[in-house]
Amino acid sequence: MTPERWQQIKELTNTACSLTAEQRTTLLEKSCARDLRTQFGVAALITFHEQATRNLGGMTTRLSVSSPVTQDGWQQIEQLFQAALELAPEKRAAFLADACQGDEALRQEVEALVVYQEAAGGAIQAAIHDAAELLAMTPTGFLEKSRFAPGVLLAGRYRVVGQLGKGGMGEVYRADDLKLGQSVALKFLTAQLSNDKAMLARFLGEVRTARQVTHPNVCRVHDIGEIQTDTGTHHFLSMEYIDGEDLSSLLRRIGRLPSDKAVEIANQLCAGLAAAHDAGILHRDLKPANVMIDGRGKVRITDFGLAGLAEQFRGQDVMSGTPAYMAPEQLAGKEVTIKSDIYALGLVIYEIFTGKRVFDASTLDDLRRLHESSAPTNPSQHVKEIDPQVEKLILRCLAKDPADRPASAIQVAAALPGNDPLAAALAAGETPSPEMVAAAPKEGALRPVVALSCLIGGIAMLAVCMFAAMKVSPQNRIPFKKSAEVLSEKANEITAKFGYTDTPAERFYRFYSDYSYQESIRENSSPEKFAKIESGQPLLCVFVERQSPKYFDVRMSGNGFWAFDSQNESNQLTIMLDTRGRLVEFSAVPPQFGVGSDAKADFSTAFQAAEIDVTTFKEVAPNWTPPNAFDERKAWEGVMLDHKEIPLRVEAASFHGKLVFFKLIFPWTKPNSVDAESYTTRDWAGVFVFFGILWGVIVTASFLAWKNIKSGSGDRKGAFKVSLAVFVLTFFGWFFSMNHVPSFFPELDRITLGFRAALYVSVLTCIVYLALEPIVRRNLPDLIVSWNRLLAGDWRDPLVGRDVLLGALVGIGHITLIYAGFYVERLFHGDFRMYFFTGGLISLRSWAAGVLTTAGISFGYGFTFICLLAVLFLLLRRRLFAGLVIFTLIATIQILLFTQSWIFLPFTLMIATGLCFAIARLGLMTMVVAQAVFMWLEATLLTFNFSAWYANGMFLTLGLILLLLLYGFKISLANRPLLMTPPTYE
Amino acid sequence: MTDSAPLEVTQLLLAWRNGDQQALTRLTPLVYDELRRLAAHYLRRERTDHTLQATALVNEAYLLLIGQQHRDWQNRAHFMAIAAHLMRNILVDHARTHAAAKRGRGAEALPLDEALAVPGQAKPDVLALNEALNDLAKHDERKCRIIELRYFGGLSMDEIAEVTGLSIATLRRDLRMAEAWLGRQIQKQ
Repeated sequence: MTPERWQQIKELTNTACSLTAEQRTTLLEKSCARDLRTQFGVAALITFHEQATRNLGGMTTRLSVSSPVTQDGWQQIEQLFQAALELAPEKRAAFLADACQGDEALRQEVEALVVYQEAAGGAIQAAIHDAAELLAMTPTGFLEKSRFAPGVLLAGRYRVVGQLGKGGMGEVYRADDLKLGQSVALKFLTAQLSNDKAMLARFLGEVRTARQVTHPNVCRVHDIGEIQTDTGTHHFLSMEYIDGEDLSSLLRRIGRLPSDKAVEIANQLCAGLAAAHDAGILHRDLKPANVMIDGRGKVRITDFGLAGLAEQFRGQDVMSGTPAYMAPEQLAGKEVTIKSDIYALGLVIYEIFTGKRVFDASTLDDLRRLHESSAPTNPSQHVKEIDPQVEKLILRCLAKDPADRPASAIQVAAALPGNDPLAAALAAGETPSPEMVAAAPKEGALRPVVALSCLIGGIAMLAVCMFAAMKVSPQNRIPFKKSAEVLSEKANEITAKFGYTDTPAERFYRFYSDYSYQESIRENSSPEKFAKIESGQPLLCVFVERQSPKYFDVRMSGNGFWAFDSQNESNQLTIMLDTRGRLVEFSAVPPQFGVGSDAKADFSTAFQAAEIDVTTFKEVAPNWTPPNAFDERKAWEGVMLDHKEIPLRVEAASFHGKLVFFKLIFPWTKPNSVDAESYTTRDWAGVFVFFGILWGVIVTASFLAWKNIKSGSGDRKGAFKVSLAVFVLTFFGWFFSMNHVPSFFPELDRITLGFRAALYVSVLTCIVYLALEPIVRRNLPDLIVSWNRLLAGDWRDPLVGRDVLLGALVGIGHITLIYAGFYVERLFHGDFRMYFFTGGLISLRSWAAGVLTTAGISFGYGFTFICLLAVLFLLLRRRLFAGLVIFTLIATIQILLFTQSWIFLPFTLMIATGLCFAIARLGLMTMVVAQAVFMWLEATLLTFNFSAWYANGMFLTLGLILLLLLYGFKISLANRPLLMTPPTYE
Repeated sequence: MTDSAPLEVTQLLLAWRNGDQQALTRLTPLVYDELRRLAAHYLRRERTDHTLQATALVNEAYLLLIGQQHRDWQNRAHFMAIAAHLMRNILVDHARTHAAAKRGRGAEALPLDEALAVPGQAKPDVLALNEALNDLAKHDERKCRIIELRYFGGLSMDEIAEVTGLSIATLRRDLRMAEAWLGRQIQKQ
């Protein structure tokens, strides 16, 4: 304290003592409002003055500058002092006034001593206690003799300047590197550590990794060395010498940092930590004592990765490091991750901004309890004016559950005031890293009323969708009461009647859509023609079962999906029923070898199975050749059972008295094309163009991917995660869809096929992701913010929630518009078109297969659109133009493929608009969810007839979508109460 | 510290009690080493609660140096008398090194304006106490010793009386004068 200030304090105090409390406040505010120290000093002295007044029994005391006391004076003072203390407090004033005989200075001196006498013992004790504490808190090695005296030359290269301190690992010296003429810090391992071979090996490993981190905010590790002395081998680490102070002592010295400096330091801390995390190194023991600040205010984080080593070294005494800065999971001895470092970072930032430790306790158990269960005091309770953004960030870092903490140090930095590393990187023309993108200051939290509207809107649209589906979907129009199991049973009854009684080794059945009738009336449709289908004949959907005495051979078809091989083995058979269970088609392969009988087949059994009265049919010459061997064939003509005006032809064949072929032939049934394939130059050109494009894409993508990996701009982690997800989804989608058999080679074939298919898709995904994602990241990073947050595991981020919620909404809206469009078309035109997906109908297993496979595919669709936008953006330089091109593209495709009347056009345009908005504004996450939800609903048979056998599948799908909606709703609320309580004003 | 140490220390203590000033010169480094070792030991063991009782340390040093069998309270008092002074040195040295480290490591160049930070409650500093003690010693050496024994060594009044040869009443008076003066002095700084 300067003499001037002391003088000022004293004068102010003397003035203030004669004033009332209010007057004092005014005085202090006027004279030293900005000077907190003076204010504080005056306040303290006033308190002292008041104490003194009480202590001396009404004697008034004024403080004065004490004059140097002479030896005589000293004795006199002591005498008076001792005498005064013998008296009762109220008599002291009078005694001293009398005894000093007008020597005012003497009287004041003794009075002051009397005042201080009470509290002095405590003050002395406090000073000693503080000093001891200081000693305890700084393990500087001050108390231990150092191994090497200053001036000693080590390893012929380092001249010891002095000991800097002592940490968990050993002693640290400052030394001059004579070879390079630089100051270095040498960290010596403890003797125990040096002697433990395994520990030493680990130490070397850690150092090797730590050396890879070169970042201005991370203390550089130079080298490892060892020296021999008469006491043994000493291993040491040479590091950058930092001429500065550690954060711990800085904080102790000056309390908290001013907020702009605090932000500066926090930023550097985040940058250093992020660089280390990027290199795959955890700090494990981040604390103020491990943060050095040099003379220019530059931060260096020290002791990376070494803490873990020290911990292991201490064995059972794991926690003796710095439990005050350990995350709950670390204290509990669980896995230490980046999130544990983030927790420690939060503790350090808390301390920088408030000057207070978050948790302090005298025992380890208390500390553990605090970290595990007690909420930290809000920083604003220590420092009122703290930025609420910083406070929120700190508390997020300090979340007990690692999943609730920011995913990376970069994210922490991004949330610091005045930071937008993404914008900075883009402005600098760099490709931002995925972490940077994830850390973009993009808030996703929706206002409760908006989130709730989205949720309710989604559910309402589902209801609209189901309503429209009731009117136009085949399952609600044709007889569709029998489940696949029931029809399969029926099929087996029929084949048994035909003489096929052996239990097949494997069977496979599913529903297929039959488009032949729809196509035949497309040119000449009328409501009456569509009304016919409600009887179940003409067919829109057939049940097909295949049986084989041996396990089926499985082959992969060209598009990566599996299929069974065609029917060619002995005793394989195929039976086809309509949805009411009436025979439509049958074919069987006769045994390859055997002496047959001359028996004639009884075709009437087949007619019975088809529920046709054979007597109303007249026999005609057969003209449809059976696919398999036969020795007798017949054909009949009549009319359809349900619709007498439609002619029907039946063809059948038998072999050795057993039916091998039966087929209903409707007027619209067409034979397979008999035209020979003729190759023309044009066909070849087509093949060349198509495969040229395909290979062009693959080669270009591979080249780009390789380039991106080399330049470091490819998101390797992200690509790995995405392709792994695609692999898992595709493989398990396949796994559930496929029959599994208890025979090694057939099952191996199947697993291999599924594996191959999944591998193919995931490798392609990986290459394309590596190749194209950086283009999006560089040009349209806002579209993949939530995606990257999810990839970083931050699934509780409000933005992720928002995009999932909106994605589900877009998906539901898409399918709803299609159904609604069909419905409106029907109102104007009568029946026109129908949607009928029959893939996932059979069982829970096939439902799961459909859902998983679709989810895998949806990424591809969503990503393709986003990449397309990014490429267009590159070409056109304006997002609006790129969006318009995408809009035109989607609308054109929709119109060409699906829009057959002007009535549907508005729906097409609405769909294109919605998708375009999702692509260009909301981004990848939304698109992937939208595609998945759309395809799930597309493959679901919607109905309000809840007792229908296929309703279970619908409930599962609706439940899944509802879960997505609820998840998005909940997360996008970001813990805000749904019903806002109005703020109260006091 | 060898096994013969307790014996050696005890003998030296006895010699010193009997007026042998040479014994004190030989004794001091022994006690000092032990205190430093103990303090370091304490630091490692008690890092979690960050407190270090200076007096507890001195006691422990005594037990280790003198051993159980040679304990008598007069011996202890004399030992403490040395230890108390040494403890003061240790604490003050450390605080000074620490402060010097702060100043010496370019704290002035640090772009952190100390003045902006809200000052914490001004705690009496051991360095201030040390200076005040030095001042006190100029006026009255005896009082300074008494403070050391009482506060740095944690000696009881009886023990101080044994070491100094003063009456308890005198000690009380000395102590309260010394305390009051130190308190005043610390406050002034």
